[in-house]
Amino acid sequence: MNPYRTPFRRWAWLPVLFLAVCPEVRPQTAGDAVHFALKNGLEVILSEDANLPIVSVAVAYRVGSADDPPAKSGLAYLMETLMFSGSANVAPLQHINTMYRIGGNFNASVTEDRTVFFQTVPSHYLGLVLWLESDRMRSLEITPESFEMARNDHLIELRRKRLEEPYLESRMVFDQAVFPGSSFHQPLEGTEMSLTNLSVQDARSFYTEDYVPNRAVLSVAGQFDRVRARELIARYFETIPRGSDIPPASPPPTVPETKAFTRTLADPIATSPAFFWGYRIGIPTAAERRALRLLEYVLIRGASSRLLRRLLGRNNKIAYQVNGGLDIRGDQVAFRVFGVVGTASMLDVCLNAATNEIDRLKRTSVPDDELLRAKRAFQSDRLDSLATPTDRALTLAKAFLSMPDFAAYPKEMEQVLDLTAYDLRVVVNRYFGPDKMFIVKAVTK
Amino acid sequence: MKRLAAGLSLFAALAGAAVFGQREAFRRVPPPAEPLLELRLPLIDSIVLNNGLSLAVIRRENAGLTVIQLLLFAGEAYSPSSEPGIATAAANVFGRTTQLLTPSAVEDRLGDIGGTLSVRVRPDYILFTYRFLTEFFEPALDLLGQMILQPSPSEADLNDVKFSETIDFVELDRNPESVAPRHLIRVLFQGHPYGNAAFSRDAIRNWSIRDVNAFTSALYRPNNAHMVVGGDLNLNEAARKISHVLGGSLWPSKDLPASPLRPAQAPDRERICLIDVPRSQECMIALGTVIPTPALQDRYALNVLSQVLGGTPASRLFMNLRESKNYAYYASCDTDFLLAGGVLSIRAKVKPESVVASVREIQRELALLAREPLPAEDLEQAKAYLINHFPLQVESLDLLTERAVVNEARDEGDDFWNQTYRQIQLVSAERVFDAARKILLQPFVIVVAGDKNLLSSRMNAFDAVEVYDNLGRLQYTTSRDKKGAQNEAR
Repeated sequence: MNPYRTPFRRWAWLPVLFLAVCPEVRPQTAGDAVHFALKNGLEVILSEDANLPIVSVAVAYRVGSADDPPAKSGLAYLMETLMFSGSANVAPLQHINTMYRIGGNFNASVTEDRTVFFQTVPSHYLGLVLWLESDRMRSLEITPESFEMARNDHLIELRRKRLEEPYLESRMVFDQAVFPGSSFHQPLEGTEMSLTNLSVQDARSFYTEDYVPNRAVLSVAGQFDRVRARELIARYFETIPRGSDIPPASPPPTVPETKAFTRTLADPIATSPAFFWGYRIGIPTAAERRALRLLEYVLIRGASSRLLRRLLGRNNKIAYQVNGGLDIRGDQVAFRVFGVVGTASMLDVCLNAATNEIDRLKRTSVPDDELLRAKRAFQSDRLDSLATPTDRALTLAKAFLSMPDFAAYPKEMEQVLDLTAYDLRVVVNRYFGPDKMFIVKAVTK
Repeated sequence: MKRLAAGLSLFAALAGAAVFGQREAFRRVPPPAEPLLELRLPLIDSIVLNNGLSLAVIRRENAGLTVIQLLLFAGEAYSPSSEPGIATAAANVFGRTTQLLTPSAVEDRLGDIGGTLSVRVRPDYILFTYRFLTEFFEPALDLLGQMILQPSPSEADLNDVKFSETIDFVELDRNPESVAPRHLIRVLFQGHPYGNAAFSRDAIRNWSIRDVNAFTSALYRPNNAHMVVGGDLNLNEAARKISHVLGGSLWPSKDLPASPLRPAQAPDRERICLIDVPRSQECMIALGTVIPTPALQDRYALNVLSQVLGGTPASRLFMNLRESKNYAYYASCDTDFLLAGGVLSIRAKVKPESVVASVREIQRELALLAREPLPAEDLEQAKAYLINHFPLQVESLDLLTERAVVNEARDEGDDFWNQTYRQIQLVSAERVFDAARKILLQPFVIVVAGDKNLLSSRMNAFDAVEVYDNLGRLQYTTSRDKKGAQNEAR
C-alpha cells in the first residue's frame, strides 16, 4: 500500500568567477543544507555528508498522475519510463548502462503529485550524473518506437496486475471518496483504455510543459566539494531554457460534500476479505498538518500505536495485516487504513475496534507517556530519513516540493515535538467525524 | 533586398547556432570522472569481554541514532533436523517478554527510546538489529539486557510467531519467485544442515516453547556471539557500559554443543525439479550448485564471475534472455558464501512458453564461461563495478555495522575494508577461469516453479523431472524411455 513505488525499469572547468555572474538568485539555508535557485528557476539543494565518498543526486519534478490530461491517465507514469529513453546527447539505455558501469544505484518513482529520479554513485562521478540528468531535462527524445515499447510494457504490467493483485477496485473507490473533486484519485498507472488513447504527441507535449527547470528541484547529498558542485550545476543546468510558469495557485477547490459511506465490493481474485477505512481531511493548515502527523504516530506507527495494538495485538489479533497512515496528495490530505482479515465477519469487528479508538481519542486526551513515545518515533524516523546520502537527497527534494516554505523544514521537527495532547484532540475532533468517514469492504467471491 | 535580408538572417542563424553549439560543446560527450576520493571507512575497534562476548565499535560522531547488532551462531543450520525452523521461532520470540516486562511493556519501553528491534535469520547465524535514539543509550542497553538475561517467552508469544509465519508462508507459497529459490536450497543441501533453511510451513505446527527455550539456552551465549555498536562512542565507553549490563557472570558463557556444520558437497548429479504453483501466470527458474568451502581468493574470483554473468541488467544473462531473446522478465546471478560452503545461483523469471529455451541458454552461458577465459574488457568492467559499488553497500550505519559484525564473526582479518578493494583488484582472468572450471562444470540443480498445467508438457523436453507440490513434497517423477516416451512413477 505504499504509494511511493520504486518499480524496476529496463532498462576542468569554469573559473569561480563564473559563479559571480551566473547562478544563485535567492541564497538561503535549511539546516545544514544550502538552498538556492538558478536563473531559469531550477531550485537546488546541497547537503554535505563526508562519511563515505558517494553522492546522491535526486531530481524531482512537480508533476504526477494528477496532472494527466482528462481521459489520458497513466501519462505521468509512462513518462517516468520514457525519461530513460535517450536525449540529444545520451543514447537510449545509455543512462541505465552508465549507472551499471560505474557501480551506481538508481531508480525513479511517480506519485500523484511528483516524479522523482535519483542515482547514487561514487563521488568522482558527480559531473557525469549531472550531465545525464541535465540532458534529459533539456532535450529528451521521444521516438514513436520508444513510446510504443514503453506503452506495451505498461499494458502488459497493467494486465498482469489486474489478474494477480487483489483489492485494486476497492482501493480506487476509496480514493475517489477521500479525494473527491480532484484529479488525485486518477489511477496512477492509467487504464487499458487511457493508455491506448495516448499518442507520442501527448508524451512530447507533457514533457515540454512539465519537465522544465522551473518546475523541478535538484537535490545533491553526500561527499562533494560545494564550490565544485555549484560549478557543475551551473554548467549543466543554467542554460536549460525556462518553461512556462506554473499557473498561479487557484483558490482551494471547493470539496464537494460527499456523504460518508460504507460499500461492499466482491473481489474475484482476493483470497481474504479486506477493508479500506479512513477519513477525508481535505486541506488542513500547516499547524494542523503537523498535529495530524503526530496523530498518525499515535494511531498507526510503531508496535505500541493504538490501531496496531488493537487490531494486531499479541493476545487479541483480529486482523492478519494492517497498515496505513496519512495520505498526502498535493495539498489534500486523507487518513487511510488498509487491513486484511480472516473471515468476512471479522471486517466489522475490526472496523468497530478502529472507530472506537477514534472515539476514545475524541473523548480523552492522549496521555503524556504515549504522546512522548509518538514524538520519539517521529524523531527517530526523521533522523533515519536523513541518514544516508540517498535518503537525504530524496527527503530534502520531497520536503521542498511539499512545503510552502522550505526554510521551515529544519524547524518542523521541533514544532512537532512541541505539540500537546490538546492539539491532537482538536484535529481529531475536527477531521475525524462520522460524516467524513469512508469504508470500502472487499469480500471474496 | 529581400534576398539579402534572408541571407543575412540565415547567416545570423547559422552563426548563432555555431556560437551556441560551441558554447554547449560540453554537452556532447560525458564528462570524465574526477579524481577518485579515498574510501576511508571508520576503524573498527574490538575487544573480547571476559565472558567471551566479542565487542566491536564503529564510531560515527553526532549520530542521532545508535545501532547495536548482535550476531549469534544460531541460524537455521543449528535447528535440530527433527525440528526445522526452531532457529527462526527462537529468533522471532526473542525479546517479546521478559521476567519483568509484558509484551506491551516491552513495546512501550522500545517506544520510550524511539527504538526498533528486528531480526534476520540466515543459515549460519541470526542477526538482531537494535536501533534507538542516541540520547537513550543507557535505557536502551538496560532493555537489551533484560531481553537477553531474563527472557520469559510464553506460549502466546510463540503462537503469535507461528501465526505470522504461517500468514507469510501462505503468500510466499503462491509466488514462484519465492518457491523456486527455496526449493533449490532444499535440494542442493538435502541431508546437510543448510537444508533446514528451506523448511516448509508444515514444520511450524511442531514448534514448541520448550524446544525454543532449549535452543535459546544452548546457543544464545556470549561465547557464541559478536556484537557491534555503531554510534557516537568509543570502545572504552562501549565496553564499560556493555560489561555493566551483559559482562562477566551476568551473561555467563557456557560450553556450546558441537557444531552441526560440516563441509557442503557439490550435487552428485544434475536434477530437474518442477514445482507446481497452481494458477501462476509466471514461471521462475532457480538454478545453482554448491561451492565447496572456497578459499578467500576464489570467493572474489567467483564474485567477478557472477557479476559478469548476472550482476546487473547489463550482464550476460539479462542481455541474452531478456534483451536478445525476449524470453525473460529478468535474469540474475548471485553468490552466497556460508561458513561450510557456498551457493552460486541463477534466477530468471521467464514466460512459461520459453522455459526450456531459457534453461538451455543459461546452460550455454555457463558452459562458455567454463570453456573460455573472460575477455579483458568484461573482467575490468566487472571489477570496476564491484569496486565502485562497495561503498554503496555500506551506505547506512546498519549496513556498515552488519558488514563489520559478519566479517568479525567469520574472522576475516582486521583490515577487511581495504582487503575488499585489494582482493578485487587482484582478480585475474586466469583466476576467474580456474574458479569457473572448478564450479561451473559441477552438476547443477534446476528448479522450475509455475503452474504445472502450463509447464508439464514443455518439461518433457528434459530426460527426467521430479514434480513437487508448492510445499516441496515430491508427487511423482517423469522419465523418458529409450523410445522417447514419457513414463511417470509415483
